[in-house]
Amino acid sequence: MKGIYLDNSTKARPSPRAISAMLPYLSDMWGAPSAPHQGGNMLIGTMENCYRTIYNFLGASEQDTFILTSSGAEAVNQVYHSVYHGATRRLAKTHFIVSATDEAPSLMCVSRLEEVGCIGEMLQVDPQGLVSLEDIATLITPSTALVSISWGNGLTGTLQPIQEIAELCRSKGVLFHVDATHVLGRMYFDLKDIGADYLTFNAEQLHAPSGIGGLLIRKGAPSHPLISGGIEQAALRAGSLNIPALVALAEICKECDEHRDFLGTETARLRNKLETDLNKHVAGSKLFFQNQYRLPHISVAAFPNVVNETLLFLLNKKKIMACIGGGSFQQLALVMETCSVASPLAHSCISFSLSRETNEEDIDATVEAIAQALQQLNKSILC
Amino acid sequence: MLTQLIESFTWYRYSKKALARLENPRCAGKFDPAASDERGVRLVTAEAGFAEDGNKVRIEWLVDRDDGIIVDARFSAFGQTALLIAADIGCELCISKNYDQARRLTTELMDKALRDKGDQPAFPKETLPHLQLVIEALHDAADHCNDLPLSVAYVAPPVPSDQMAIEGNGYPGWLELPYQQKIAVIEQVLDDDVRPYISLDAGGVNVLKLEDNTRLLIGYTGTCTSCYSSVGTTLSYIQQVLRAKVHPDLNVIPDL
Repeated sequence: MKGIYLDNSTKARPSPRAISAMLPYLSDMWGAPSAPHQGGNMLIGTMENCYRTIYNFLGASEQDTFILTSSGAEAVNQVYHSVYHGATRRLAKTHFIVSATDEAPSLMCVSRLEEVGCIGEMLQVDPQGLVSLEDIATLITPSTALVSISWGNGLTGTLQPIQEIAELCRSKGVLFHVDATHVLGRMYFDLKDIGADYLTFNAEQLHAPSGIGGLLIRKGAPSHPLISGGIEQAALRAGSLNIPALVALAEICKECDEHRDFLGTETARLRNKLETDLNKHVAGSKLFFQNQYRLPHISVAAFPNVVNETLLFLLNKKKIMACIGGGSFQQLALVMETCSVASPLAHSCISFSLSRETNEEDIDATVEAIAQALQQLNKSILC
Repeated sequence: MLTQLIESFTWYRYSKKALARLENPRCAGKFDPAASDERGVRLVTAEAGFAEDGNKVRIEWLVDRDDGIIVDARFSAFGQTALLIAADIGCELCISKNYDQARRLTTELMDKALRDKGDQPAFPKETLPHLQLVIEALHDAADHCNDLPLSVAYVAPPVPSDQMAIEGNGYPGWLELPYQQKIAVIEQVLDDDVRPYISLDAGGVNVLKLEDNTRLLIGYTGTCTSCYSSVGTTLSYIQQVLRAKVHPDLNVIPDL
């Protein structure tokens, strides 16, 4: 793909190393691992190596269960499915708490559960995009089944106080789900410190090929298959295990470990340069969440008097790709409004998510393109 | 259902004409109130939508105080691409029309004006609310002109009264002509007896299709698109001319 790609929170370019690693398992090593014969058995060693790499990357214990899924959305759905069958139906816990800035899969899972009698409650966020422990503590009742929070927001870059929320949930006997998609490979953490019952992620944002996600279930948390029909993956996801995807994911985990420092330093520097240059060269631009602990590769900027979709159209013409939400995200304007940004300004926001492949020239060209696009729109702008 | 499975973002479903307007709008901007006064025209401003919702449009007209003709039109907007395109074509279609004609503009007329092909919409269906917002602003602008007089000729057909009595029994042997030649005869009659008159009022007419030798589908362009008489006296005149000079059984049907 040619152009300047700053939409890595939606999907990052698939890693050539991961694709190379998976290729033999698409052509020569193609058995079904659950089969009794050698065609399947020859894959067991590979599986064990891959799982160990993934467990190490996630900081998981061997007592925890990792399920390879087809996407982060599927993993999130399996969490809600497990909690519904393990806590709602068994213990009559019908209350689900989710953050108002969360991504579509969590919000829509809650909506679906509401159709079968559950109660969904949305946590509001402060102007920094953060949920408050006090709010969660207030909302939790004896019938609360699950608190579900996206650790790092893929549009705004804000990071939630996950460890404290986990402790609170544990003390109240409430299950806790963390969507770690935008944090994995970017931040250092130890799962033991986090203490979530469920951790999900979509691997496309980690430079994996499409169609790979994961769900880690802490030992003892309810676990029920979303896709029934076999004994694969500890009987928690039927269908022949996708060995090429497992191999690719293991390789992605290694790469994430290797690049984590780079993302925290060089990518963060480029993100800061983008923000500094926008301030300097694009009159009126306004940046958000700068003075807080946040993800190193994401920035949100508003360009007053221009609606983000229109600006993105002109940037797209110049082959600069950024994000205004939508798809599996919420619309960025809605997320920003939830963060107390005034409505007209919220509609002017664009999210830029960098990757380890972003370079200085990309940032320079982006800032220049934004300035040009705003100049082009000048005559049609309503002031 | 299959088409929904492969549906792309709206940008990729605009017509080429619509996209061209997005990049180079013809009517973007505002008028200078002082300059408008000097020209002796009325500056009319109308708005629709709310910036809080992410879509607000302002339409400005310069209107001739003597006959209600919109001399020029411009727009500015805080909105999505569809709103900008709709505002631009909405303004352009208003120019040279009077405010009553402008009030008759529809979303379909705006869409037709930007189509690349006859039956392929210029705007994806989900952008219709943006077109409606522009129509709302145009109605508001027209309401600001209600006190202005309209030309006395507005409701009359745009042809001299001495041309109204048309005689003839049709084109000899027309029914036996191949389709393309039939159309050519119709085009010639329109060129000679219709277009010179309606073009005086910046209007136009196109032949779209002839069915069963009797049903002639026409499309209006320019000011005719929303003219009061385009489905009345003008249509009646066109049919009368064509029946006299082409074939007495012809029925003319406007594609509105």
